[in-house]
Amino acid sequence: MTKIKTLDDLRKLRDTLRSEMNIRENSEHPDRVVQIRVAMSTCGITSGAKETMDFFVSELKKRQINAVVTQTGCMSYCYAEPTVEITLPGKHPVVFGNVDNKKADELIESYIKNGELVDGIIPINHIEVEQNNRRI
Amino acid sequence: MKELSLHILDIMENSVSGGASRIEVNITINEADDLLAIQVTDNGRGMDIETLANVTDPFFTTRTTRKIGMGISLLKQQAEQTGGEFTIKSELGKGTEVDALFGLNNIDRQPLGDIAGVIVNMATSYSAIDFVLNISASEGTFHLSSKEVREILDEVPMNSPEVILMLKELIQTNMTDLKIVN
Repeated sequence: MTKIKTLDDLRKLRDTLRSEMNIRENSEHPDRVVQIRVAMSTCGITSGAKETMDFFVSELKKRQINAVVTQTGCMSYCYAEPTVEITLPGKHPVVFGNVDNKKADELIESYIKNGELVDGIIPINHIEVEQNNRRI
Repeated sequence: MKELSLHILDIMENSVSGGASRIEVNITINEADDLLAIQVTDNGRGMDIETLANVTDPFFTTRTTRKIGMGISLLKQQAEQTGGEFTIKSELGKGTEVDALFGLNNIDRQPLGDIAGVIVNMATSYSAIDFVLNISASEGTFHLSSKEVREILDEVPMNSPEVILMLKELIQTNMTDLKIVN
């Protein structure tokens, strides 16, 4: 790809980008693409959450997987950082803990590509418990 | 945290939690005076005097999920151990300004790290916020606003991996041209 250095270069590349993206039809339908959110709190950053996020970005491009990678604030799983929430199209979000590059690779190959769950899921039970308590 | 860019990332996350719509990162490299200045300003909701007084205390946080907040105290420690200083100013309803001054060539100064990466990751993750990066060095200056980038990209989504990598490259190329060493 051509080197870009100024906003003008970016402007020139926009149309190419747009046509590529239209083929993949992800822009207006975020629910049709894999969504990955990396928790970027102090403890997450210290545990390497940025490396994990960079890994997802470059690997998903390399492996040509239609996905959107964003960061988010504290998910309050300090004990399991870096934590990553993955939402496959049409599925509930699943949170995985201790996601280093090796784990991220496993997640891409098993969960994102084939929908097979892997070790390290952080159960969302506590939310259900809270909701139950509220009902009582 | 092993790089200053990660501290900047952490401070910017605070600004996001503070409801900012514009977050500015200013990096000034002054070889003549052997100084590196990092400033993060936001137009978030700011802090009251009591909060501000406690903010560099690691056992203080406004978060309710746990009782400690290390981010700011870690950056303060990093600045002070290079002979620099750390100040934080804030006004309720107006915003917050964090200033960290480092001894540029001090052996204890952490490397800048992946500045491009943290700015782009922030800008692509929080689409409603305008992230502004200003770098000033003896070779010249560099300015980038995520709002401008978003306008140029039009409907091309900024958070797709292609665009993220491209924007990182844009910042990195410019930083290399300004001869900014880590």
